Amino acid sequence: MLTRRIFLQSTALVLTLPAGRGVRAAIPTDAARIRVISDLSCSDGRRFHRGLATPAVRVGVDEGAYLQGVAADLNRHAVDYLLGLTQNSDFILLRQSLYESGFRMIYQGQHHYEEDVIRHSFQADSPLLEELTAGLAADQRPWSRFLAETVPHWLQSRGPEDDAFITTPGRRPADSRGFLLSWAFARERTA
Amino acid sequence: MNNVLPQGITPAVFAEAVGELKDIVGPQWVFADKTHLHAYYDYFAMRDPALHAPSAAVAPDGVEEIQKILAVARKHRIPVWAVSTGRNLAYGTAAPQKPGTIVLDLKRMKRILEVNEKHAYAVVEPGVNYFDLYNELQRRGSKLWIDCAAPGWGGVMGNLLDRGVGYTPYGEHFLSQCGMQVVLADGTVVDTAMGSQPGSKTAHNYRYGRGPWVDGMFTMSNFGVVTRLGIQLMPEPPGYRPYMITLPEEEDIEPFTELLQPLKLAMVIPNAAVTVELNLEAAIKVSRAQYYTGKGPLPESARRKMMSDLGIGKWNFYGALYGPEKIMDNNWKLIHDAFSQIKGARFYFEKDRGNEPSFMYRSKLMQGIPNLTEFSFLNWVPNGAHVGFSPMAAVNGKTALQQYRLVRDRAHEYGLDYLGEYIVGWRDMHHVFVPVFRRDDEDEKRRVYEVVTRLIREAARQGYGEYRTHLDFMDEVAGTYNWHNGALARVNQRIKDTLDPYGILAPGKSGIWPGGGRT
Repeated sequence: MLTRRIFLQSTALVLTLPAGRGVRAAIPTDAARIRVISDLSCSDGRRFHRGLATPAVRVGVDEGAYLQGVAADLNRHAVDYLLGLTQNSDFILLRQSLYESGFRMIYQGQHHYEEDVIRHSFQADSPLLEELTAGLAADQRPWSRFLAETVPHWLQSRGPEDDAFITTPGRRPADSRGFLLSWAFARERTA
Repeated sequence: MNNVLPQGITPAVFAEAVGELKDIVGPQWVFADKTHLHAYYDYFAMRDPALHAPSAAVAPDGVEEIQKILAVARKHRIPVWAVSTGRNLAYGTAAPQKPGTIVLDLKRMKRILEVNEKHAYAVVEPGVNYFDLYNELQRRGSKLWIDCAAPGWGGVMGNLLDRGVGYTPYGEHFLSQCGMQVVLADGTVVDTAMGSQPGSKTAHNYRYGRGPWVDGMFTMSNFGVVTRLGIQLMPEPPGYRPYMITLPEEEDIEPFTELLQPLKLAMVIPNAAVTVELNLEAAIKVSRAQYYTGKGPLPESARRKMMSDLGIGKWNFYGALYGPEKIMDNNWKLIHDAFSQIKGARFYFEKDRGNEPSFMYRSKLMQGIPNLTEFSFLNWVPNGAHVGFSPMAAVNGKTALQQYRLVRDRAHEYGLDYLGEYIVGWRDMHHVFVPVFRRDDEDEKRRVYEVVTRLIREAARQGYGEYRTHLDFMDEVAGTYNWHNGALARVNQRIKDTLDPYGILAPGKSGIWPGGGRT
């Protein structure tokens, strides 16, 4: 059983838990099969991607091509967790497919640029909400870089039990549409 | 268990019915708890999603299971709402019209029963989506094209039964329909047209059979559950050349459409082409906030900047040439000569814009390659969703400008941007207005609901009706088709009450309710 690391068997990827956080629940075992998706069309997505220390899958212009791959994985029951930082349009498509395949949302964050600030709103369980809001308030790095390091903890969230909000300083990067979603889904049943 | 129940059904009876459904399809294919019913709610709801909340969903894997499910529905008087893939987000997703209805989810029935290369057709079950059919044709090395809706994950059958459109010369989907199998509310299985003859050799070659042709009756209706469909496919042409024409001014839609009409009718432009307004075209690539962060519709200065940055027009026309090179060259000359009459019109081919997301996905659609790129326009606003207001128009310049101005002005009055397009058939245009709204902004959702309601009424007064609509507007739209004291509605009602006396099939679909009442 793994405690501080999750071994992603299907893609041989490694996610390292950020230092300073205790393991508060059983993290999925080495049988866990996880897909991470990041949007590389904007700098926030690229920072997230780099922070993962893992070659996460990129969603390109034609989400359909990617979604077919996801659907195949879902049909083969090859995935237990799907998570990412994406545009809203990608999230909507994945969300519908995942619900149809018996997944449930365990975490969601919205990241919205307004004037000189970024408004983050989260839905998760209390420990994760506390970690995210406290971390974003204290961390000096770009928000998506920080977020990447919390990814393993998204998987431990019991579900969107509560809400939390925080505003951090920042201007919309020129290559950004100004809104991204971070999210995680876990398989609930075999369908 | 979910806390939504069918009207007039006690928890005990509902539990009994759910148990019977589990016996039919297996417990893993009956969904009656809140978590698993998420997929059957209207994620883009403008009003309280509870208004269209299902009590459960059941996913059969064949006609016999459907017959048994309908028997349970009749026994307990519980209505069911059939969906093929249930993924039309703009019109209600898989949610039923009446709360408490059980969703009859047919997506497990996804067999491609036949592909006939010589006669260019396929026979599919309800759960087959565009990707499935396209991939199967590719796997076979077929020289047949499909015609798909912009959302490539949509159901081949579901879209056709809702009389949806695509973008190749086979864009009017119902014209390609050839043969159906339908399960009626009493469990009777009917094969239509030539298929009603045992051993028919032409069930998918000739669509009409003998006597009354009833197939249309099962489109956009609640008279039966369609379980099999013949769909005619387009042979791959010897050549394909997509193009785009941009127009600099809003008023250009009038002369452009006038010039377009004879070219469409003569099939110089053979495909279901589209004339896309600036905001919708831009939204594939950029968000509104990149150009304007104030309230109300995007100002003209921001729109001009967007045009300049993206190299697009107030209107953007996508069409394609099909055929041998010489025919394409000749047709292009006719098209170019015609539209060059419009000052400022610009012409582009794949070599000019092949890397642009809009051109890329439109080019795919016009050759029947499914994709999902169009959903990008939802990023126009944060947390974006949309609905469709879709009045029909003749291919007529004055009509195009008049309808555009009507819808644009109302959208602006309600503080919304106009995002829309005309999908151009031979004699008709589907004008599709897609207001994009924030899912987390209750006031904006209210304004969208109100403006669409108002537009339905105003359009009807001007002689325009919608071809299709969201769950929330089915009664409103049906009410506008009211000539001669609602003669057509009364015919529909008589058919409904005869074929489905217990009212178990999709109550409220297209404004048709069991017994004529909304209860």
